[in-house]
Amino acid sequence: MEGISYQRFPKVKIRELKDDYAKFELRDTDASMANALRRVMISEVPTIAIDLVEIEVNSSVLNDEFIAHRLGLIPLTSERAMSMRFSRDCDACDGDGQCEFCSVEFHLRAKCISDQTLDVTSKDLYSSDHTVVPVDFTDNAGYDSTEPRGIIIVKLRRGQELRLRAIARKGIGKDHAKWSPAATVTFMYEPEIHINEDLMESLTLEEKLSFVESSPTKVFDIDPNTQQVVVVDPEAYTYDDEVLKKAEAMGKPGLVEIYAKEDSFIFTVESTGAIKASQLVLNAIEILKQKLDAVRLSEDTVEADDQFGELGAHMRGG
Amino acid sequence: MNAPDRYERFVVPEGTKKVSYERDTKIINAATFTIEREDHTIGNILRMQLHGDENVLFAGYKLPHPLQYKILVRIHTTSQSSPMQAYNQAINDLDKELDHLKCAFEVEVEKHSRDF
Amino acid sequence: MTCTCRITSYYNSQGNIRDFFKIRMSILDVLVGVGMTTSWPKVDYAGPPRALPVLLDGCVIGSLSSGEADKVVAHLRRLKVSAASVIPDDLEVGYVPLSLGGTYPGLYLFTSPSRFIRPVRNISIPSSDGKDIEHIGPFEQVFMEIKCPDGGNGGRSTTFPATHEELMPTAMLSVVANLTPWSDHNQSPRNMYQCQMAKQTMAFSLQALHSRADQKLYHLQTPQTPIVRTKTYTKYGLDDYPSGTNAIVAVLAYTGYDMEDAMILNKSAVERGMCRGQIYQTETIDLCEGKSNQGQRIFKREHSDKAISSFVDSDGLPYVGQVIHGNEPYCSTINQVTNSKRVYNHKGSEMAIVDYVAVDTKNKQHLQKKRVNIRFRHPRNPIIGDKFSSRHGQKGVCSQLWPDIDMPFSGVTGMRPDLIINPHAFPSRMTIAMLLESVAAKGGSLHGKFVDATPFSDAVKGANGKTETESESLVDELGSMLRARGFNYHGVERLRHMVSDKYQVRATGQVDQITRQPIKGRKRGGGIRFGEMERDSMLAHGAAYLLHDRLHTCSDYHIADVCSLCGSILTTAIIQPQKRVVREIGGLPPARAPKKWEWRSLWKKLFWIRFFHRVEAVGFLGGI
Repeated sequence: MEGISYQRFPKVKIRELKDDYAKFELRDTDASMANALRRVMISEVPTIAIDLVEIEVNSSVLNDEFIAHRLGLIPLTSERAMSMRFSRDCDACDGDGQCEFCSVEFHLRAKCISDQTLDVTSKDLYSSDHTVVPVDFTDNAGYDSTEPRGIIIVKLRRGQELRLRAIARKGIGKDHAKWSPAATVTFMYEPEIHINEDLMESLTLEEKLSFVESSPTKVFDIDPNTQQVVVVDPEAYTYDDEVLKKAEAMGKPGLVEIYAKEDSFIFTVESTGAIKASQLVLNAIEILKQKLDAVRLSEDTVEADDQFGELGAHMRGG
Repeated sequence: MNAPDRYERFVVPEGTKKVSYERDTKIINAATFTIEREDHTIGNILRMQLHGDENVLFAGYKLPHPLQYKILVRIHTTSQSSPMQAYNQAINDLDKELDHLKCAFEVEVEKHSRDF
Repeated sequence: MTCTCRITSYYNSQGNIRDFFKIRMSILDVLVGVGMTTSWPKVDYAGPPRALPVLLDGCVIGSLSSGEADKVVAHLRRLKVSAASVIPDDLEVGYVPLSLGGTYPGLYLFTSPSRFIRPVRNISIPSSDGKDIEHIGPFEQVFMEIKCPDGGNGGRSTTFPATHEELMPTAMLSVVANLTPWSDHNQSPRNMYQCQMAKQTMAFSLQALHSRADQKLYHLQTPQTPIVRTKTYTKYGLDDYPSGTNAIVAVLAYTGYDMEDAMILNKSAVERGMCRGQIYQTETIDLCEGKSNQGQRIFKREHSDKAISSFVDSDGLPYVGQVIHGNEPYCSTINQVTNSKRVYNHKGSEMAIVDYVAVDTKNKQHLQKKRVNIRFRHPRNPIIGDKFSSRHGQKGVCSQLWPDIDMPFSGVTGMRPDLIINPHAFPSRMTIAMLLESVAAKGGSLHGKFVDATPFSDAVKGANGKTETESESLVDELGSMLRARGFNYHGVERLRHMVSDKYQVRATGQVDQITRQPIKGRKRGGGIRFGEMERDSMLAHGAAYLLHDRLHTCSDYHIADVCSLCGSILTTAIIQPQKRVVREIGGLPPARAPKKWEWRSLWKKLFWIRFFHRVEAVGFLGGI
């Protein structure tokens, strides 16, 4: 039964890694894998976000739904999310989202008693679970760390009050964008730039300069010593074809040739802070594995009723 | 109004199989697999992986309608293989590739965190 | 009406009532002073072409030699502009010159209040201190030579030099028209469409929402001020009342769901709050209304009334913040005399939230609650079928909420569009300004600054002869920034036409009392009329069964008994509907006469006017 394996062995090289940012090269695989990873990272890696809000008092200027929506969009630290249960699958609480296995409770009480406007921020949310708290942005370099910098939920003036209870649940970005752990995930083909040196040498320095200038991004430069056009940063190339058009306009088609390497990608992953960027990639791989596992043909996969063949499938809504 | 519920996108309804398949009535070694509650993520990697299999004559997938949350994967193989075999082989290969990728990434993360 | 337009008033700038008699007398004095012959009754005067009649507010006050007229008019205008003179600055000097076959010549002066006037610059008066602004009216302006301040002469001949000049080239535009960025680059009908549409935006129309009880109010939750803006936005303070948001727009034929002015919205962007909004709707319950039980009813809920206690508080009013679904109670009153109660149910099937409850005490004697305003909030988040538009008359309907991951993305930045529109929206409509706007807005957002998009601004000449703004050079400047491919930004407006307010579906439901045909009206759950035109098209297609289904089976299908003696279907006896014995004989329907109910009611009416029909029941099969 076991056929020949067509497995690939992709290579990874991390270029830059921060808590909420990762840039890496992915080689020896195809665009479908790269895109599947991107899609899973954006929409299927689970995080925890506020899903249910019970408002006790709200005399602020924003209405209840608005505040609930804003609360939902606050990123919460979600290292636990992978091991947590979806509240719809939770046996302990029968899916009503009240138990410790599938939900985290938050409380917020704020009242403005002074004449100064009170900013209610994500720092005012009190969590029942110390591992699931609003993402802290204070340790970012360059900002005054003494000042709390939470995400503003609402501003209150004197006498206004906000009191609520919120339940955070596990979810995925496919359900609602608030559960998406990724601010941005993108990849591009690694460009391969060949300069036709013979043709390039036939250009004057001025022509070379205008050629270099024609690229909106800094891809080419002129070596000050040899006065040759060199590629300084191939990845700055945005596939805008501007230099190719320039070469054409100068009457030198084929001056440069630019190919996209179809098996190597440069990934950029930016996280919302809910999970670390490196963990986001690993989780995405894990989720993709789980997804593939779920679509495997098993013993109990039955052949569909083919009484009517294609027509039958059509009638069933195929 | 009559918009489908949000969870319909990813929760397989009760009584429905995640995967089912249907042999083609006219062509031997051809079958259509219906995968419920999946989209381009699974469809495209399966298709591309199947294209690498030399016993596969045709592999394609479609998302029939944006409000029908399922994909149809159609596979046609030579007589050396069968659509089900090719399908399982593709999933196994992808699984192994992801295992490899995971290890490679973990090693890289380890290396990176040591360096800094 | 141009945005500079205003109306002459009864009051002067100090707020005192003006003495129009005095004004008219002083005008008369001035006119006599410059050579007008005063008119007296029963005296004949020379008419045109030798002399021109002079009318003040519709009364003939004298005549003027036609050779003098030009000088007199110039003199009047000079006096009008000068602050020291007694001639009011809103005097309309309608001078109709002599012409062949034209309007009857004369000097028509108007001083009355409630006339439209607008300011223009009088360039025949040498003035440097800004004392040359003249207010002109609609009657006089057609006989005046007013030029556009674009540096040219507008094709004017030297025989009729311009005496006046517009304050700015955009003076001809109304307030709404002024809001379209670079409207001078658009095809003119598109600007007109935009003026219609700008008034339909689901905007952020007020700031004092917390204390208002408008009948119906559309409110955008997270509006933004546009990146590309005209000077009018600042002038009228429209940043406090924005009418849309900025969106990342991809102009792309993608998936086919953006054909024919449909647009694809990014589902995730909508989930993050783009274009969300509410409708606020106020219900007023006035217990003083109605004649019979005045003063007897009060807002109250019986303590024993458990059925509505989760919706209505003991004071008979709803809880603020309460969610009310269709046909659920929100208010309860009790008649103190008869002790009968009345419950107000929320109409329609739609969910609403009680936003605010305000008690209105009309007079001091009645401290009881007599009149109550209850404001409901209907959430209106974008869904398929909602209408959106740009600021260039390009409207469209959302056809899909497309997930973020299925959208195209930029390889460099990873940005996904908020909105996809079809490129076919451009060639035939020629809204070039929309393209300019997207280029400028992208540049503006990258630079972090607003971009001025006032139309005709490059035509305005400054004091040194240079163009006032550098909009041309700005585009040049942005061009270098924007060579990198990407998405465009647009000001997007959400229009107030939403499917949730418009959809109309009916399978079965209420029927009309008399005709037993389905009722009309969306509110009452009625159907959409299948009218003559629709009937014609069904006939043309030969779709007989469908036609029969629409006009008969789904309408007033009715089975009646026929008297076998007289052949009438009308009877005084109440016939209990018997269990119908359905027997199909040879595929034919049972021997009953299915008729349209309307036919029966017609019969009834005919019977009243002594007109008798009979049905020959023998061998009668099928309908009429």
